[in-house]
Amino acid sequence: MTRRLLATQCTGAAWAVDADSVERIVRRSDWLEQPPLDVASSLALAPLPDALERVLVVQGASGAKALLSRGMLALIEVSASDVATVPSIVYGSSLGPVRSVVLEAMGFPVLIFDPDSLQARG
Amino acid sequence: MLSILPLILEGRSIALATDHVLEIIGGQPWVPLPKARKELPGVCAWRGRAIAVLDIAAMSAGLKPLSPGEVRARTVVATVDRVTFAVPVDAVHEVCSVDESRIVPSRLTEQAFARHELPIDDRTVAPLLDLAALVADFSHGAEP
Repeated sequence: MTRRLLATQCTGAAWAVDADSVERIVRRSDWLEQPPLDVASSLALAPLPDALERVLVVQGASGAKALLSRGMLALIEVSASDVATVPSIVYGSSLGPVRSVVLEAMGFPVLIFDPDSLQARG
Repeated sequence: MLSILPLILEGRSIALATDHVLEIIGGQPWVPLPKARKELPGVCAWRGRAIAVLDIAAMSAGLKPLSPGEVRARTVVATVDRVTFAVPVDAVHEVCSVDESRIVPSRLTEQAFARHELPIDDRTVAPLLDLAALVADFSHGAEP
C-alpha cells in the first residue's frame, strides 16, 4: 500500500500534505484571498533560495485551508510503512502540527503537515 | 541489587536502571519537530518507527541542549510504560550493580529528571533518571 504526498522541498527537509487532499494549486501572485499560512515558517524550515511561491488549497476535516508553499513542489509516493507516526508524547496533551514523518525512505526527512492542527490552535 | 547503566553527558554521570534499556547504538540523526517541548525536541528512526528523542541536557542546568543537526556519539534506546525514547549521550560506561539501600532522595545532584541519587563508583554520585515520572509529566503537559 502506498501513500501519495505533495511535498515542498526546503533546505535539508521537506514538508508535505496528502496529495489527495489538495484541491488546487495557485500561483502566489494570482492568489487574492486571505493570506495563506506560511508552512515552512511555522515548521521552522528554511525555504530554498529563489523558491517559487504557490498557494495550495487543502481540504481538511475542518474545511479548506490555504497553505503557502515556498520551494520545489514534488509528488512523491512512499510505502505506507515508510510513514511513521510521531509519538503522542512529543506534543503531550496538545495537537502538534506534524503527526507523521517519513524519516529514511526519501533520503531527507519529510514532515507531514496536518492542516487540522490550525483549527485546534485557533 | 539494582543494575545501573551510567550515561555520560558533558562529563557528568547520570544513572539509568538497565530494566529500561532496550539497546545501545551509535549516534543517530534525528529530526527536529516544530512546537515540540524542549525536552523532546524531535524524533529519530528506530526499527522502522519514529521514537521520541529525550534530551537530558534540556532538563539540566549548565548543560547545552541538543541543537538541530547535532548528533551525540551514543544513543540509548530506553522504554517505560510503553513509551520508547532515544536518549543521546556522549558515552556509556560499564553496567554496575548498586545495593538498593544506597538509593537515596536527591541531595547532592538535584536535577529535574531525578528524584533519587546513588553512588555508581567510589567517587561519583549520580542522579537516577526517573523515566516513569517524566512520562507522567510529559503526558499531562507539565514541566518535569
